[in-house]
Formats: sequence, C-alpha cells, structure tokens
Amino acid sequence: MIIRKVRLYPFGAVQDREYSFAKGLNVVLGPNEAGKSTLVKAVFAVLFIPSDVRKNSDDWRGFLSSCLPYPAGDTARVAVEFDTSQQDGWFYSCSWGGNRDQCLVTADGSEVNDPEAIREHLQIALRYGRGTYEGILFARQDEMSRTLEKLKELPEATGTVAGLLRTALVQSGGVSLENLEEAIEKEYERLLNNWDLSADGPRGGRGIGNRHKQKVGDVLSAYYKVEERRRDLKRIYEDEARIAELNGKLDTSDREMRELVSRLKEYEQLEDDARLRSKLVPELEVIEQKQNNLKKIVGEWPRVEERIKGLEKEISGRGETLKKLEAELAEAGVVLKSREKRELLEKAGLMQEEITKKQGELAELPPLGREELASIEKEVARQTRLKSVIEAMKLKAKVEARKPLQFKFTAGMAEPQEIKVDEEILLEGPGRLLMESEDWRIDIQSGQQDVEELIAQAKQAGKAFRDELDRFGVDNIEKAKEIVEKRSSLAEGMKNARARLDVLLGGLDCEELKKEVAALGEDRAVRDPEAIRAEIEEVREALSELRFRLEQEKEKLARWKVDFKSLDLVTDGLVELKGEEKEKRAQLAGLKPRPEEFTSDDRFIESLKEMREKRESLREHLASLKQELFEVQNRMPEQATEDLETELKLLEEELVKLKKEGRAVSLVREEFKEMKEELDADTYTPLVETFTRYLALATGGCYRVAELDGPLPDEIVTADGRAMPIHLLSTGTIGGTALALRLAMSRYLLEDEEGFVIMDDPLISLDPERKQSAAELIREFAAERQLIITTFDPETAALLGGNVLEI
Amino acid sequence: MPLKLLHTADLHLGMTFNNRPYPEDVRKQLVEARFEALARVVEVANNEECGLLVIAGDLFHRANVAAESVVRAVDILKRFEGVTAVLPGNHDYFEPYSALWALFRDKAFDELVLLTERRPYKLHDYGIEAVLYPAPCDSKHSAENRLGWLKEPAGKPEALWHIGVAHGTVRGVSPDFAEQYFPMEESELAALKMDHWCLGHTHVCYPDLPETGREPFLYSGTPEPDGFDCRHRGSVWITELGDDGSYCSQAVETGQFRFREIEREIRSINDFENLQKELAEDGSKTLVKLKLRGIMPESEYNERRAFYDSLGGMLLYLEWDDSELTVEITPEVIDGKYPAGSFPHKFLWRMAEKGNPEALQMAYRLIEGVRE
Repeated sequence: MIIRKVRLYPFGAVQDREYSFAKGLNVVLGPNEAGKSTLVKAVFAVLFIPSDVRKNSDDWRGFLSSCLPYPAGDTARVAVEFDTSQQDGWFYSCSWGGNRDQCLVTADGSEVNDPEAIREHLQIALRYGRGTYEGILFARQDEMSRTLEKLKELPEATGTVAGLLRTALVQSGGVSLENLEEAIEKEYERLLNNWDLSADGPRGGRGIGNRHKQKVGDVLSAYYKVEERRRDLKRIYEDEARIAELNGKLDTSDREMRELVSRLKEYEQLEDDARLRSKLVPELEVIEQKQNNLKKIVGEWPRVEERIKGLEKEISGRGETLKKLEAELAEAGVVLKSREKRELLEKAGLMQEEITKKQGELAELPPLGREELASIEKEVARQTRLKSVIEAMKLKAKVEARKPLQFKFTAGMAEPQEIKVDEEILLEGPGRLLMESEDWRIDIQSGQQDVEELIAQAKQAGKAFRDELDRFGVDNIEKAKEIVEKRSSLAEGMKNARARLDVLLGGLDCEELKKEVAALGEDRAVRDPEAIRAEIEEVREALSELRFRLEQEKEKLARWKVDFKSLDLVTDGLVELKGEEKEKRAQLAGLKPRPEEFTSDDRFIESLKEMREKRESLREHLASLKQELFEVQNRMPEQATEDLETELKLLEEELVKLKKEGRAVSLVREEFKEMKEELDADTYTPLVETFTRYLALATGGCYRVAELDGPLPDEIVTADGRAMPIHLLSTGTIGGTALALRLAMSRYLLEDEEGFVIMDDPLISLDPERKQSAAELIREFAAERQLIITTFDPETAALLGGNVLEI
Repeated sequence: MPLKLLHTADLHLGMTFNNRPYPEDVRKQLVEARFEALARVVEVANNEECGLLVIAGDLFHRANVAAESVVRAVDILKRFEGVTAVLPGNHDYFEPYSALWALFRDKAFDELVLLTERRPYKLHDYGIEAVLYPAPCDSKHSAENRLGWLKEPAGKPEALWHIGVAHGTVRGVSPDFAEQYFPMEESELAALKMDHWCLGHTHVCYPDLPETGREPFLYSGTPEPDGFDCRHRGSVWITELGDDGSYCSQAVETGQFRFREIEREIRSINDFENLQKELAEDGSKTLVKLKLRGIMPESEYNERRAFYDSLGGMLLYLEWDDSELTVEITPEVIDGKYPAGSFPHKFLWRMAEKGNPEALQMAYRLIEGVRE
C-alpha cells in the first residue's frame, strides 16, 4: 500500500487538514506539539481501528479517547487515499465516537460499508496485520534502539550477526523466547509434574498408597483427591452395608433371645418337679432291685444247703476210687520192670556167643602179624632190587662150533640149561654167562660190579623171605597179606561185640544179672499203666470241680449269713422294702409332668442348662453386635454419601479439566521445542545481505559486517578491521545500527511489493556525521519504498530531501 | 369436621454443605436454613390452622446426626399447635438401636407421633378421626419398599380418613436408576385404597401444580432447596380432606434460598450484561452455578472477572466454570498482534493449524503472559 492522502477532519487538535504523500521519501516537518504525532496516529487509527471500537477496549481507552476533537466534539474522523499493488485510487474514511461510520470506495468506484468487508479489503491492501505494522513498519525509532539494547543481553543474539537479526525479528512481537520457554515449562510443571500423560496416571504408577510427596502437579493432585474420595466412599459404602447387616443380625438375635427367654420361663416352672422325679425314679428302681434280690435269696437258701450235702458225699466216693487206681498203677510198674530184665539177659547171651565164635576162628589162623609181614616184604624188595641191577648188565657170547658141541649154559641167576651147538649160537644173559662142559668152563662176567656177590646176595634174599613164608606155612606173599587182614578183622569184630555188650548191661555184671533174673518170680498179666494214669487224672479233675462248687455254695451261704443272719430275717427285709416303694410311688404321682417333647427328665434338665448357656452366649453376641454397630456408626462421616458423591463428581470434573489443560500444555511444549529447533535452521540470508549493506551506510563506513566467511557473517568489524562484538557497540553506534536493522527488516518484509514505512524522527539521536550517513541510507531505502519520516528539525529535513510536508 | 394437614418431607436437618466449596459464612447460612425452613413449615401449619403435620421422611440428613440438631428439631416442632407425625426416611432410617430416634423419642412430647412401626396409628385420641399407615425406612438403601405389611389382609381400623405415609421413589415419577430407594409403583399405592398418600424422598414437589384435587399420591418435595439439582423455590402441601369426601391440596411456598444452574453461550460483553440483568432480580438469597461457553474477542474476554466480581457481590454465592469460554484467536487476531516473522506470530499460526483449540488457547495465554 502506498498512502496518497490523509485527511484529519477532525482528529485531536486538527480540525480539518489534508496531507498528500508521494511515493519514495516524505518528510513531515514541524515543531514539537505541532501535530506530527497526531498525523502518525491518524494514519494508524484509520488503517487499524474500526469505527465500532468498544469504549471499554484498550484501543479506545489507551489510544482513541485522546484523539477526540479538541477542545470540543465527540467524533474523530480520518480519510485516506491509497494505491494498492494492483490498483490505484482507493478511498477510505472512518469516524469514531459519537458518529461512528466507515466507508470504503474501491479503485473502480464501488462503495463498501459493511465493516467486515472493509476489514477484508484493508487487510489485503495492507498485506501484513496490525502486529507487523505496530512492531516494525510503524514502530517508533526509540523502540527499535531499545530493542537492540535488550538484544545485547542475549548471548544468542549477540553471538553472530545472523543471531542478532534472527532474534530481532523473532522477538519483534515483544516476546522473548527464553521467557516464553520458561513460562511453558512452568505451566507444564504446574500441571503435569509427576503425571504420566501417555499412561494417563501418576508417574511410576504411584497411586495414593505410594503417592508422590514432592513435585505434585495440579493434575496429580486432583487425581489423588479423586482417588482419596473414592477410597473414602468405598469404605463408607462398606460401613453402610455393615450397619444394615448388623441391624439385621441384631433384629434376628433379639427375636431369638425373646423367644428363648419366654420358653425358658415356661420350662423353669417345671424344673423342680423334674429334678425330684429324676431322683425318685432311680430310687424306685433300686428298691425294686433289692426286692427281687431278697425274693431270690428266700428261694435259694434251702436249696444251697441241700447242694452242699450232695457235693460232700460225691467228693468222698470219688476219693476212694482214686486210691484204688493208684495201687493198681504201682503193681503194674513192678511187673513191667521184671519183664525188662529178662529181655536184657536174653540179648546179652546172644552177644557172648558171637564173641566166642570169633575167638575160635582167630585161633585157627597162623600167628602172622603185621610186623612179620613187613620183614618178608622187605626181603622181597631187596631181591627185586638186586635182580634188576644184574639184569641191567647185559652180556652176549657167540659160540662157533667146529664140530657139534654140547655144554651147560647158565645166564645170570637163571637155571643152567643144556645147549647143543652144531655150527654157531648167540648166547645172551645178564651179568654172567657161564658155559660149562665137562672139559671146559667159560665164565664171562660183567666188569662193572662184583656179579657173583650180587647174585649171591639176591639168592640169599630170596631164601630169607621164602624161609619166613615157610615158617608160617604160607605159599606166597599175597596169601600172607590175606591172613594178616583176616586176623585184624576178627580182632576188631570181637572188640566191637564186647563194647556193645557193655553198653547193654550198663555196667551190670552178666552173672549177677542171671542171678537176679533167677530170683524173679513168675510173670503175670497187668493193665497198661497209661490207661490207669488217665483214669486217675479224670477222677482228680472231677474231684477238683466238685470241691470248687462246694466252696462256692458254702461261700454264698456264709455271705447270706453275714448279711441277713437268718432266712427269717430276709423275709422281714422284704416286707420293709415293699412299704418304702409304696411311699415313693405316691410322691411321684403328685409331680407336674415334663413337656412332651422331652424323652426324659434328665434330657429336660440338660436342655434347660443348654438354654441358659445359649441365653448367655446370645447376650454376649448381642453386646458385641451393638458394640460394633456403635463403632461403625461413630466412624460414619458428617456428610451423607450423596454429598460425598456430589463432591467426588466435582473432583472428577476438575480432574478432567486439568487433564485437558495438561494435554494442551504438553502439545504446546512439544510444538515449541520443535519450532525452536527449526528456527535455528532458518538463515534469513536476504535480511543479512540488506543489513550488511545498510550497516555500512548507517555508520558512515565506521562499521561493516565482516567479509562473508561461509554462508553467514558472524561479526561486525570496524573500518580498520577490528572485530566488534555487538554487545560492545556504543549507544551512538547503536542508533545507526538500529536504523540499519529497522530498515533491513522493513525491506525484508516489503521485499517483493510496494509498501510504506513510517518513522518518527529516526535521526534524533545521531551526531551530524552519522546523520549524514543515515540520511544516505534513508534515501537509498526510499528509492524503492514509500517512507514517511517526521522531524522537528528543518536541517534534518533539508538533509533528507524528498517530499517535505510542513505542518 | 374436615381434616386439614400440612405435608412436608426431606428437611435434611444436619446437612453440612461441605460438598461444594461454599465460603464458610454461606455454608453456615445454608446449614441454618434447614432449621429455619422447619420453623417456617410449623408457622405455615399454625397459620393455616392445620390439625396434622406429616413429615414423610428425611427430617434429618443422617442417621448419626448431632444430638443438638435432634433437640433443636423437637423444640421447633413443639411450636405446632396440632399433632405432628414423623416418618423415618432413608437418610434418618429407623433401627432399634438408633441413637437418633432414641433421643428423639426421649425428647418427644405428647403430640409428636413417631411412625417407626409397621402398623396403623390411630389419631382418634388426639381428636382426629384419621389413621396413619406408615412405611418407615429401616436402612439407607433397599430394593424393596416397606408397603408389604399393608397388603396383609388385616382389616383397617374404623376411621374417617385412611392416610398412607411412605418414603421412597415411585417408578416413572422420581429417578432411581439403581432401584435402591424403596421403589414403589403407582398401582401398588392405588391397590392399598388409602384416602390420601403423603410421600417423601424426591426433593421436587409432585404434581408440579399450585393446586390440585384428589391425586393417587403427593410428593411435598423439600420445603427449602438444598443444592443445584433443586431448581424450585421449596414448598409444602396443605391438604384439606372434607367430610363430604372432597379433596383439595395447595402448594405453599416455603423456601428462602434459590439454587440456579445456568448454562449460557457468551459471545460478547452484552451477553454478560444481559445475564447480570437477569440475575439481578434474584438477589442475595440466590446461589448460582454458571457454566459459560463461547468465543469472545480478547478485550471483552478480559472483562469477565469484573463481571464475576459484580455478580458475586449481588448474589449469595456464585460458582462459575468458564473453561469453555475462550478468547477469539483468528488469523486476523494473530496478524493484528504480532509482526510477521516473529516467533509468536509463527507459533500461533502453527498452533492454529494443529486444530487443537485448547492448545491454541494455552499457547496464546502463555505468550501474552510474557509479552512486554
């Protein structure tokens, strides 16, 4: 938008005046209080404050109310003519206060009166909102310098030129990122401390049993309150149910008690009679038992006496029988002993005969013993040994006869034999070959030993054992062995027979035995003693039984005599018992009957006892129920559950609200972080370029942005190349820098479209030298944009040039 | 001679009003209001020359109500010149070991009849030819009503009027979703063939008419509203049973306090002003709970506290929930407030695009909080 004309009619102290503006630079010149600010205000008011502004709004109270006509009048009015990027020749007028009106005439002459439509048209023409104009395009110059002063305190802003520009732009809305971040964090913590949004519960699942004590955010605090109230309510519901249950139990127990007490009262009236009856009935039973006993004794007494007599008689008879049997047994013993001795003697005779026979056989055998046999065997062995020595000395002799020859030949120990030799013969033999004829004798002997001696010894040995055999009339050694064996066997047989005989007689002399047997009389017939003994045993048992019975009967009688003295006195006792029985029966008949449901008086009395115990236990039960009821009722809260439920509902609603807020702040926090990161990535390169150029102009070349060393410069340097951190810039320098910054930002905003910037005396704080440079910068800027500058100083106006409007 | 009776119920003496954040002085007034209401009921009964005052349950708020409240209630009832019949309701239910009713009985006077038993109460000895048939509550909750004994075939005693007195809900008339407040059926009441039924429990008067003839039953409602669910002004029934079989019941207003729950959409300060005008008529005995929603321009939105303050000064009590009343944050508002390219400008645009109004409001509030 390019402003062509502005008319104030009236506005503040201006009654009616029109100002024309050119494209490019416009300088509004006038002394202080002449109305420069009124004009700036009027432009702002007509463009941004609608006619229907409320009187309680900030715009009215803080701005427009001071722009009403002075000294009188209730309506302020401003009209503006402007060109847009599309069309020239728009007209807009607006009045506030008593006569509120606004009217827009578009470039093509159409009139628009609808406030909303007007607002839309203006919005398009202005391109940016009121915020942008207020913050940058309309800002007062001192505000810009103040902004820069503030930025000096921020390390982020003063670190680099890019940082400065970015922060200046970012914070141009009057909002510091740090403060906003802190506010978001504070709000986040206030609401969500220790609250887990994703789990929709306390962090770490810590409920009221294990609650967070510190850093409890509003959501968590509300949650705990809800949970506490729910827990209280649950307990109260339980208590209410318990009270109802206790009342029910009390009612039941009370009824039971009343019934029990009434029944007990009724039964207690029958108790004494029942107790008496329970005593009388067993007494009567005892009397009856006694009577029966006495009756029995009366019948039994004579019978017992009779039985004693019978038993005594039988015992005596049995005693006689026993004696006879015992005598018979003794006799049978003697007879049987005699029989045994006779048999013994017979057996001993037979054995004696056997011994005598063996003695005879022994006497018939030659007295060849084992020693003699050994001597014979020794000689036999000697001969055999010698023979074998001789046999080993084998000799051969060959006899050749030139004429038949006859001679006796003896070979070794053999018998001589007649030999006839016609031509020749080979003779063989052991040890010695002796050939003899009458004419000659040839004796050939082995040279090894004295064969002759050997043969002589062999012959002697043969003779010795044969002589021995002959002495006992035995043909050969085998027979001699047989005789020795036989003699040994007979001697053994006799020895055994004698031993057996000794055992049989048991040390008795056989002769004495014979004499004893001869002295015994004739044998006679007797019964088997075992049979007699069995009979004796039987009789003894019968006797024992009879004696036991007798003892019993006697004892019985003796007892009766001790108890009753006599049978007559027993009869008297019986009569007495009868009387006693009658008396007790009469007493029994006079008693009140017990309730039918009881089978016995004992059962009835027992039942009364049980009922009294029951009454006690019921009393205790009732007391404990009442106690518990009292306790539960006492701990019930002052409020009814309905009240607590209402309270819970309110707490729940509060929790829902806070959770909603919590989610909102969480989202804000996330978005903020994300956007802050994105911000760091923004380069604002065009802004940096413009600023680089403007800074040199604004400071008359004293300062410039360092040469680009990478995508963005990071320092401001002095003309001689010294780096100058932004926070060290002087106030004067800041004025120039602020102007450069302001115009760079404006240009950044109005990059591709025409627009206006209004500046309220931007050169006021600069020294003449810097003013010169600043004026250059302003002219440079105004070459392409509409710039409206106010000043009270004609020199400044002259310095700037351009379209001068004098007020 | 006709019988004129006053029928009330649900006075809830001893209610603490701790369930809402009432300021202490307001809470005390509300606690006191219960007793004042009873006093007014007695006064109305005397002025109307009623012979019988029937309290159909919940005279007291809790079974363990303070002894002092019981004594005070009996003292107020003593001022009545006729006969008072009191039925235990589900809040002040009767059980044999109840300290409340033991004390009440102990302090009672001749003309005070306590309807604790399930039997006919003849009022002949008091010169009233009527019999009362009570259905007293014996617990806080019950899925079954206590009308059972009335259905037994014992004949009714001789009397001109047979009047049933019960406490609990009637299906279709009073809400009881869990069916735990001694629920009754209209047909069940009709089958018992009473001349008149005095019911308690529901805090709203039934039928909602200023005057009526013979009805199957009447609920008196509470004579003094006790919370925001009670939108009426509190009343009792004065019923006249004529010798000729005529019936006439009139609702008589007895409440002092008024509870109002208002939900309103607010778009501008004018809406606030209209609401203020509307409530100005109610005055200092009115308690208001406001639920406001809507979107307002910020400058007007910022005026709301002043409005609450002025409204609060006018009323006995004001509670408001304006969590759904928000500042208008349109693109124009954002553009108008923050320079293009500035962080708040970008941030709010972005939050607006997220489509989460709460988060947008929150972001706006936080930004404005730190704006210089």
